[in-house]
Amino acid sequence: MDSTIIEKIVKEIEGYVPKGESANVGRVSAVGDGVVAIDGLDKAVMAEVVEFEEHAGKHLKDSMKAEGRLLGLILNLEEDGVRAVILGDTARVKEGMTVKSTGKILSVPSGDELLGRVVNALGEPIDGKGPFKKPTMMPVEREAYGVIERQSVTVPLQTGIKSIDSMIPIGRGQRELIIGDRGTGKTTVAIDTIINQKYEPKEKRPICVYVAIGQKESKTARIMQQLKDNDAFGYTIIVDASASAPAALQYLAPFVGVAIGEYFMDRGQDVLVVYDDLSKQAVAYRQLSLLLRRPPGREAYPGDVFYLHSRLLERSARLSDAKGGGSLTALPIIETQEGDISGYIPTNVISITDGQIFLETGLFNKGIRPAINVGDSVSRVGSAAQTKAMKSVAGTLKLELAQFRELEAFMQFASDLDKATADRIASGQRMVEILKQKNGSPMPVEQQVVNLYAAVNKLFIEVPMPKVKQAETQWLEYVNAGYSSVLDGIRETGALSDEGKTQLNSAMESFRTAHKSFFA
Amino acid sequence: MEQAYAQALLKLIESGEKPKDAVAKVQKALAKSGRAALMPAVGRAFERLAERQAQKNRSVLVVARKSDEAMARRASGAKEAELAVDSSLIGGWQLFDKGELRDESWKSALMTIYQNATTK
Repeated sequence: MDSTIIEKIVKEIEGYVPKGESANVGRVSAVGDGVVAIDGLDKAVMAEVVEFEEHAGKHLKDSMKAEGRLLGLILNLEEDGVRAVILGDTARVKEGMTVKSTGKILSVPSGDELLGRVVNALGEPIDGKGPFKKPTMMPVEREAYGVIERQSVTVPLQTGIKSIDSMIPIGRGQRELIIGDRGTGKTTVAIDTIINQKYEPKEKRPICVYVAIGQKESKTARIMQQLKDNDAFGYTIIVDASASAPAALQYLAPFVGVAIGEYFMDRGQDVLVVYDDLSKQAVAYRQLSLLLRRPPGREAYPGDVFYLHSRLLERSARLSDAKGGGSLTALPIIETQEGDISGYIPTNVISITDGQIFLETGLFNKGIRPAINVGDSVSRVGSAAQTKAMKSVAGTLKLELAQFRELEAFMQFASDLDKATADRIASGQRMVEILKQKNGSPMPVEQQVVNLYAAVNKLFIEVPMPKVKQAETQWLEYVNAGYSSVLDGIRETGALSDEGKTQLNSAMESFRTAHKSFFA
Repeated sequence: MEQAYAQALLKLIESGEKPKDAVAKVQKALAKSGRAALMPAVGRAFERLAERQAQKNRSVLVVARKSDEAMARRASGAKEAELAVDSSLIGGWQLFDKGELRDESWKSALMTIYQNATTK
């Protein structure tokens, strides 16, 4: 045997102190579907972790061969026992088994060494890169910060998506819901936001946590690869509770994500947590609640399904300077059925969050991607966090788009319309075209401002529709080549100065001359 | 429903009521609310509850071999506890007493050492 192992064992034997204390125990009276009924455990507390004693009657050799500890989480305290969910393989739990109380609330590892790693809903690494060496344990359930410990949301979180950063801005510490039917690009918006953080200076870059709940493993693997390909995995942690994971783990995963994020927030860093998606978490919680024999309410969800999401999302915050000034921004995702945002879970989460980004199948099928319905989307606190530069162009953009939406119905009578109306429609169409963005290609904020400035100042109005995207690309290259000082100015100050505006106006003039082919 | 009545019956007995009187009281209460037919089910539920309660209140001292009994009783202070033998403990003893477990077995100590040596 390796001498280091022998030394380690000798050290352990020398340092061994008999526990000399007793543990509160119970006995498994029934088990099934990931839920276990336990007799005894009189001193158990809610959300306490219990350990199933698998070694009773087994010889030491067999006990050593057994897999790691099998834990459970107490969710019901009853008159003559408790009910708990099994955090692992249900098949390992047998009737009559002794269950030991640990006296601990569930906690998960967090720390810098988790960056670029994939963990399960118990915080255990599942990427084959080995265990964590010195993690800090964070409680999965924790009370959210109070009023005194918080401050207003004033710092922007750039998503790199033009339509969001300009019209539905998100601030650090905000909770912005991404809602829409399946296949409308909800995950894409969230992943692009994570990727866009690479443009932030390293000291201000948010740590990103992506929580996959009830997703296909193939999708999570694809997302991981996409993040790696875009150099975004180094500052990201993936918490994976796939569709094949027990309902208990799917229910826990978002809390694990926020607990991991809180470690960084408490250190004064900014954190972005994506919950993909909370509808699946609600379904998992409904399953658990029914198995725990809690009374079903609307759509068979338990009465506390609102509290499930509110206590999770309330943990997003921007802390006061006295508390380190860290922040935790949440991007929960909710999947709707047939665009119905008036469903039980969607309305709950809409009312909890500080705004929503509404994605529509109709827009997606029309080729407008990201398929954001700007009219129904809103950000309640983000405008305070928007940069001055973006604010200066976004006001006009919103107005133009609102007017375009009013007139959109008349587009089929284009030939009979007066010039002013026809111009407004043409301008609106080009705006919509400019706001289109391919997935995986978020745009730094200064480039967005320059593009939108040109769009609201009618640079593209004479450009034929099929050439608008090309003209936009050329325009950006043109500014990059000859007017990079404007871009630098916006990046550094967050504002578009009068001098910058003058430079952009003259750039637009010269662009028209230099690229006549677009303005035929 | 029968579970609730059984629990009430158990509480009455635990609070010092004579079993016969407690049963009569429950029977009367059931009859008053038109649920007299529930009595047999309440009886069965009570049996299960009482068995569980007895299990909970049991005191069992587990040793690896019969010859360890005296040492284990002295060390644990459990003079009245039932004795059980489980050779897988290797040595030492375990005491289950009113929902509490004190584990001073050699197997448990060796498992702790093994787990610390392999996971830390």
